[in-house]
Amino acid sequence: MTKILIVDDDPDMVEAGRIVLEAKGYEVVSAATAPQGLSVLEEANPDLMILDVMMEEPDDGIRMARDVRRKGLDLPIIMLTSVNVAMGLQIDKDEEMVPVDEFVEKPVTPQALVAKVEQLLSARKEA
Amino acid sequence: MIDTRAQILKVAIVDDEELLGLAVDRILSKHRVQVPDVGVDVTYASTRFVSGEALLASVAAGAEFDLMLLDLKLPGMSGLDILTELNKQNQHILTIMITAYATFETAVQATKLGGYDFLAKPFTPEELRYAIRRATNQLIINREARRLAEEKRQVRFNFISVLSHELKAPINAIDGYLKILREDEPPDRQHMIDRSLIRLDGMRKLIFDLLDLTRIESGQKERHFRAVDLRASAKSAIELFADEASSRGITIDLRADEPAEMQADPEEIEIILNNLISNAVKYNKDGGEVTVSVAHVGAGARITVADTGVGLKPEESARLFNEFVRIKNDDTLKIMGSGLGLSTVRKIAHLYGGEATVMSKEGAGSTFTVTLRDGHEA
Repeated sequence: MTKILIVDDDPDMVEAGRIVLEAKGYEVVSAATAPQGLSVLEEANPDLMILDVMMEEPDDGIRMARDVRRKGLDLPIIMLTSVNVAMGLQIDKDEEMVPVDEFVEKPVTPQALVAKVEQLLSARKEA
Repeated sequence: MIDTRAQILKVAIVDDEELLGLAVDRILSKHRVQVPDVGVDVTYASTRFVSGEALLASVAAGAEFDLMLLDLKLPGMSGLDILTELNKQNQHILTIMITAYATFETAVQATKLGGYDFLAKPFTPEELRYAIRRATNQLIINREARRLAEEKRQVRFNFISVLSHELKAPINAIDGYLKILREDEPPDRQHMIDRSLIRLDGMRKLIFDLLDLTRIESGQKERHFRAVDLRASAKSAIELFADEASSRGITIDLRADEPAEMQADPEEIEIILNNLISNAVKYNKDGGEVTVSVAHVGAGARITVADTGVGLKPEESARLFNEFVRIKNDDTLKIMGSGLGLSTVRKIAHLYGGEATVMSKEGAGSTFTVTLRDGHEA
């Protein structure tokens, strides 16, 4: 079964994502902090990761994405954020600094989230 | 272009040499200082005292001074005694110390007590005017900075109070609809709606906390002082959290042998106690303990709330009282809070000339202490 890791410090965001994705037949594992996320990543070996940009620190999601790439893992990463609007920032994906596949502003509709997940997974399969 | 405003600074001249006092008085009466950066034009009105006792009596009778020229060597109380006494009374008068023989030790001590500048005897009128000009600049610029900070707090308060009211309406509408929807839903959907309602409550709490905080820091809150028994206040605050505590097997003890009375605004005491006790329960481990102690101390009181919870790292303790700081880790993940409670507690403590502090050991628990001095109507 295709496995998705959600890393978010807000338990409601994790649960909502889990409900949506499990209904589509995905298996969902989760973590609340970046270090926890890295260890789940190694244990569970997920096919895709949904990552919140801001957990304990304003940018630890971004740092985690970099750590994941540095480990040589190339699974698709969707980064969820509400910081752009809240802080007036313009962060976008960037191979070097923000090595993620998609950058999505919260709130995201269930349909949009599922569509992104399906799109990234099928692109990976074709490649 | 800044309008020039005229300001008269009240100067206390404290010197047992009457002739010197008189000479200083005469020079100041003709002196005029312009602080162009802030557009203030300053003149001086002096009062002469021949002893520290006379000055303190006048201050006790309600006289206020902006600036003081203080002879360090006086019969009776010394200049340092006077500075110490004024500090005790929380009277801060910008002070230029006059002395014939300033030793390094005296200078250090006087500066520690808040002395601003030295003038060595004998001094020329020009030296006096220079010292006065320096002190005046300091005083006026400090005041201007305070005025701007005050204005900023008012703007922030006005903005936040409008914003809060605007936010409450949509929250209430969402709340209402969700409660209607909830009735006919199966349990798993009811659970989602319940989570939504809990998060809405969190938002409401955030708005109330934000209003409390800005109302207090802007001085918009009307303060009514009366004798408050902290033991009784603590009892009712503990009752508020009794259900939440007992549902997690947490016991709350009140340690107060006798009533702890102080002059305070009951609403402010309530905010302090509620925040501290609520935190001590929220961040405790199941089956833990909360110990609340209140005691009358000097002309005020001390409140201590200790928990047996997750505790804090030293670097977390350091920033805990800042606004919107929430310590996030595995232990605190599911705990909701606005990150404003402790910041508000500290602001209230400062209003009472007191302090809010925390002692904590990671994994063992935290002890919060708030000291307060009796409040008086402004």
